[in-house]
Amino acid sequence: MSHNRILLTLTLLLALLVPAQAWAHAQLLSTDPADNVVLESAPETLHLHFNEPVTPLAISLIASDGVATELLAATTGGETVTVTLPAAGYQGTQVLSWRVVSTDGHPIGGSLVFSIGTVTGASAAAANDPAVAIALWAGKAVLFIALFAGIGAAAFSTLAPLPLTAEKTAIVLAIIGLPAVALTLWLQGLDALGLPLLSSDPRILSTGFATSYGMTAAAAGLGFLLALVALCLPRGRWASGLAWLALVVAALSLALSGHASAASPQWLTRPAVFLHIAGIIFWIGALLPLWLLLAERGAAATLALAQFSRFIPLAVAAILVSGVTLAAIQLGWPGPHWLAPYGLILLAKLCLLALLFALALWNRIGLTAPALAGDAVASRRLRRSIALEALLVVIILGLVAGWRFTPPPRALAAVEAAIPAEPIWVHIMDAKTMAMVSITPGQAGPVALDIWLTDVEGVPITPLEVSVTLSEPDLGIEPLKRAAREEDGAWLVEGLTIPVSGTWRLELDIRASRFELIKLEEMVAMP
Amino acid sequence: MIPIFARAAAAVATLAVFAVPAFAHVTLEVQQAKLGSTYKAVIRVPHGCGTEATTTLRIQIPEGFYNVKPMPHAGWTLETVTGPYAQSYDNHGTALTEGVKEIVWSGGNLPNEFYDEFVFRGTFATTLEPGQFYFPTIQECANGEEAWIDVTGAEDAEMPAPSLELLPADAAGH
Repeated sequence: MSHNRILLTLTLLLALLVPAQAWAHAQLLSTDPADNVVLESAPETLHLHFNEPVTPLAISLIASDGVATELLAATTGGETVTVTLPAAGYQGTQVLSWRVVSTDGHPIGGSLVFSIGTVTGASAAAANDPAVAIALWAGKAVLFIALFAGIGAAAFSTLAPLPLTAEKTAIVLAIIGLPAVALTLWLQGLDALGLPLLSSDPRILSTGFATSYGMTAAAAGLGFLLALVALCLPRGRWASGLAWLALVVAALSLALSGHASAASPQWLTRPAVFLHIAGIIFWIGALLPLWLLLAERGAAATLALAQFSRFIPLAVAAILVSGVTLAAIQLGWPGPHWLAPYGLILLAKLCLLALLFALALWNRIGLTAPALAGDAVASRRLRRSIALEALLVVIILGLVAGWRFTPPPRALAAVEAAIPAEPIWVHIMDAKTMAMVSITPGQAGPVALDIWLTDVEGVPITPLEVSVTLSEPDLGIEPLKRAAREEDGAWLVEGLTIPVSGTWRLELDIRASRFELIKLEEMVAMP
Repeated sequence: MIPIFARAAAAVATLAVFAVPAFAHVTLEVQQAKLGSTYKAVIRVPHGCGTEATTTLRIQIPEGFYNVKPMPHAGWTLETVTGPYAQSYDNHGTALTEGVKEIVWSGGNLPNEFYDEFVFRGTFATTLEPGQFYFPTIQECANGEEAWIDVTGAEDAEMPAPSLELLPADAAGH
């Protein structure tokens, strides 16, 4: 009897103790940020709202490169689970993988996908404000004119004394260049952030500086300052040295960014751009001083013209050789891609250049010698020709500033090659059901899933509901679940971001009828 | 000695039943039954859909569990869906060829904070195979439902259907 009593008491005690646990099962009600949103900047905290208090078991943030950061220590539990993110410059798509336990001891897990700045793997952002583009084009055109004519004139001043007007003009251009640098940097920042023209975001200037154009702007600014000092100093070794340094820095500045410099092989393109720009600066810088000097027709003009004609073949050779090299790299063999905007700008530039070279040749062969000999008619023609050259140069600079907005065919081809348009096909079946799933595009990033369901004989079935669950056990990414939408007999899942490449477990929950659930599962390698 | 053993077995069974960490789910109170036996199914409903109250409970009666009678529940409307059985079952000499296929308790209000039990009884046919037997169950709320219909038996199943283990008729020496 006593044994029985003990047992009975024990049983009763157990029966009383165990049900004292809560009977509920925690559910995630909402998250902050919401799933799949794109945020402008990284949040300080993330919140998961549950229907009852939970204790975090495993919390980690997985970046788009698959690197996980353990955040359990930075997480507080309760009805709202708050995850404090470390202060780091997160960019791209992130996954917060969570696993919590509620009072009943039943663990539940899931994943929250969100992106900062851009969705990793997504195509380029939408078009920016056209006003910014126009302002950027105009700003760059002004910057180029100031750089070529201003710094070029400073360089030319080392060969022959500048007439006063040319010197003043050069100084003004060098001074204009400085705010033009700042303005274009600002506009570059607006463009990079995709903001409208009249924005006052504190990040604009730093973002502009962070682009490849930042170094260009810094070097160009330095070039303007050097040219300014050189122009203000009395002629001499110091002024000459600074003026040539200004030319070198200015040529370098344009070799630091832009389509041509970014092309590979860089050991070839960057020096080519440098030579190209240096030659052009020298040539363009000489135009205004020569034009002015030829009006005076004195000994100074004769000296300047003689010096110019001695040096210009070198500059033109540098321009031609480097120009042909760059065009070949950027455009490749002639073909339809030459008619892309980049190619059209290049063709227009080449036509104007041909005209410019024809004028230069005429100057050099037909006009320079008689002008040097004191022929007034030749001098006048030379001046007209130089004015025309200057006009052509301005147009060419305007065109060249437009390159900023056209990807070169080389880049277009690279973009096309980077998109594996081929979707991934997954075929899953069990004894009764077959599913054909396409994942488009077949790579990590935003994807769309199309699911076709049939019975084993291939006859389409029409379930009540279909949902897709993705998880990456190796990376510890808890399931991401999405309901599919029916359209024309197929079930679609859109707005799903596969945050990182890896081997993902794809599960289909097919609600065949009210009480019948079909589960299909397959591992899918996502590149 | 035999009664002591029996009680010890009962205690162990009780412990085993309560130790199953499945209270979060919709479950059956008694987790074992013998083939050919009459079984009183007590479906435990521990919560609603998220924060909402459960207003309807639907239970599917799979083939092989026959002669089903649900118990009315105060404050709830009880309905059954009947249909023909795939085979006939013997009920004390009478052949049963049709019966309850689905039980629906509707129009009730079980707030998320509370817990309730819904009862029905029936007989397990001897033609069934020993093993897990599932009663797919759906909790319906004002704006959604919780479908406990996963019969894969997977350990980590998110929404398993309430189930019990069918034992052979002679398992414990009837």
